[in-house]
Amino acid sequence: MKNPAPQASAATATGDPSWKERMAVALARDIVDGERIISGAHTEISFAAAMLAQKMHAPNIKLQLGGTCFLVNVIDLKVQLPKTSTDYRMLRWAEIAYDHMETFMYFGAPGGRAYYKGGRPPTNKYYVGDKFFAGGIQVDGNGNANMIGIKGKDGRKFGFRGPGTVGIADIVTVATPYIFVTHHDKRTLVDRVDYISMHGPNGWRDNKYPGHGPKWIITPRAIFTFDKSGKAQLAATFAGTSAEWVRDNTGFSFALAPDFSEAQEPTEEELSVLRGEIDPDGVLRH
Amino acid sequence: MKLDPITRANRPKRKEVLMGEEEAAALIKDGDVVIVGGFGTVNHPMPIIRALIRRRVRNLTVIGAATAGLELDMLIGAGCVKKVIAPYIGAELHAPVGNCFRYAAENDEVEVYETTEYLLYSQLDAAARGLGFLPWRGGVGTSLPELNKDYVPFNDPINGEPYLAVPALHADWAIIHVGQADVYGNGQHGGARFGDRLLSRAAERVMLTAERIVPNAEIRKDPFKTSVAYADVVVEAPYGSHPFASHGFYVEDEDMIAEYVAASVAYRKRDMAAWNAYLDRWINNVPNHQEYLKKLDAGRIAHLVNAIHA
Repeated sequence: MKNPAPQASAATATGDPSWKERMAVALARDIVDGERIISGAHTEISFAAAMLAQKMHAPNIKLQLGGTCFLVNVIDLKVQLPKTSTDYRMLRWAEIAYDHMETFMYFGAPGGRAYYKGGRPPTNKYYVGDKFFAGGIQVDGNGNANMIGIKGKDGRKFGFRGPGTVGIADIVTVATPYIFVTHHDKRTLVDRVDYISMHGPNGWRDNKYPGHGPKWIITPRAIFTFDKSGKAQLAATFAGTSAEWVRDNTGFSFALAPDFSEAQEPTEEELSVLRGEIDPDGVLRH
Repeated sequence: MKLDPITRANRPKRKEVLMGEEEAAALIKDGDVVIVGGFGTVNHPMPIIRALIRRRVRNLTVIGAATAGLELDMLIGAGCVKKVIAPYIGAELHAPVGNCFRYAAENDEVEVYETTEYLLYSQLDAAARGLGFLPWRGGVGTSLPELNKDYVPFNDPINGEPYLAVPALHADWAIIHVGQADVYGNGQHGGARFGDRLLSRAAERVMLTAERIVPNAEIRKDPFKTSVAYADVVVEAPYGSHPFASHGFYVEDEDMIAEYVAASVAYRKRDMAAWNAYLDRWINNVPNHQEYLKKLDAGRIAHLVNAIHA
């Protein structure tokens, strides 16, 4: 990685938090008890965040762990951070397992579009998405995320072919995403994405699409929120990173959010639960 | 930004949803849209059905299973129903057409929403997916779209084939009978699930009646068996589908189904004394499910349970 964030020295249960731990703790803090959380796939950070929230302050979150279509409650269970979203061992924590197609099909918001216009009405049981986590090989200052690829020279469709949109364009229609990236650099955080896998907040706010659009862009160094016009604004930096550093290493221009601050470091309790009960193998510290 | 550290210090408890049948039934209000699960003569949430009748709930829109049984007939006969949405109401050889349903439909005492099994499933599916409508080919060219203006014929924009556009059908409640459930609202069937998973998905809230309550660890032993997760209400109801069967637990009580059918024939023939005597004997004068079970002849339940293995 081009700009490595401050790292924990070793995979031990002591020491400063790693950048992945900081991201996981920040995301966990923003989860509210009772919410429906879809952890997503290929994302040990969001797995850890969701399980941390469920163990700490939010035992009633309805947690679909992984892309593998089951709901887990791990409040009192000993877990290990899985490295894939399909790990069979996760089924030990599952209370229901269903076909993958069903999760995507039945993410439908209760009441259709009316759902987005009011508060949160009662919901059908299989509506499992209030929040989810979406990656991006490119993310721009309007909150558009690109998982498709980067254009090549001379009008070629791809100079780099990304992993594909997976389900993020689907799930965003019913849930609020956090966009996360694991690199904070100008190649990832760009002025304008080459392809759009998932729209930023604007289309959603205009009620053009059914949904809310993304809430944050979170990186190893910082958290962006969105202003009223849907532009990314720097809301927090993690310890050891300045706003100037973010400006120098971000490909889109941004303002500071009115409540900009440095993110409070993970507390001893947060780290101890994270390391002792969720990630004993130190997946987040490698 | 404000992002307060999290702590276990003020951690709330995980929400438990186990409650008594009366408390549960009281959540269903006059005018609600209620889906009743099960199929034919199997897996109906009878303690809730009887409680709704006792409570004299009125003006329900009831949505039956694709093959609804006499549980809806009973609600209609008891005067709880304003509108009925079901492609079939009866009990096959026991009662080819529900008698209360028949009388009420023939005399405009209940509004009949003409539908078919898969038009209904498509409507529930649309609700569960958060879609405004879904297309379905069944019913094209029949009387269905004439009798039910909700079904709109159209040609699909890709191949030009004729379809019906069927609107999402939203419900306040689905009441589903399962084999076992935990206190957190995870329910597992003991046999066939029929349409119950979709029925529960389409409703805004789900109420389970369960043959038995089990620890959460028991549910987690086989998460693939869980049909409904996070139901809003769980009611413990051993033998809770009686006089109908509960898959995996007991068979139909044919004698008592026959007693019901005889009463419903009386209703259809306007012998209201006989009908009301049935309601009083088995519902109105029986305060709860526990007392209902006590009223049954000794050995009757054991016989029905044993018959499942015969």
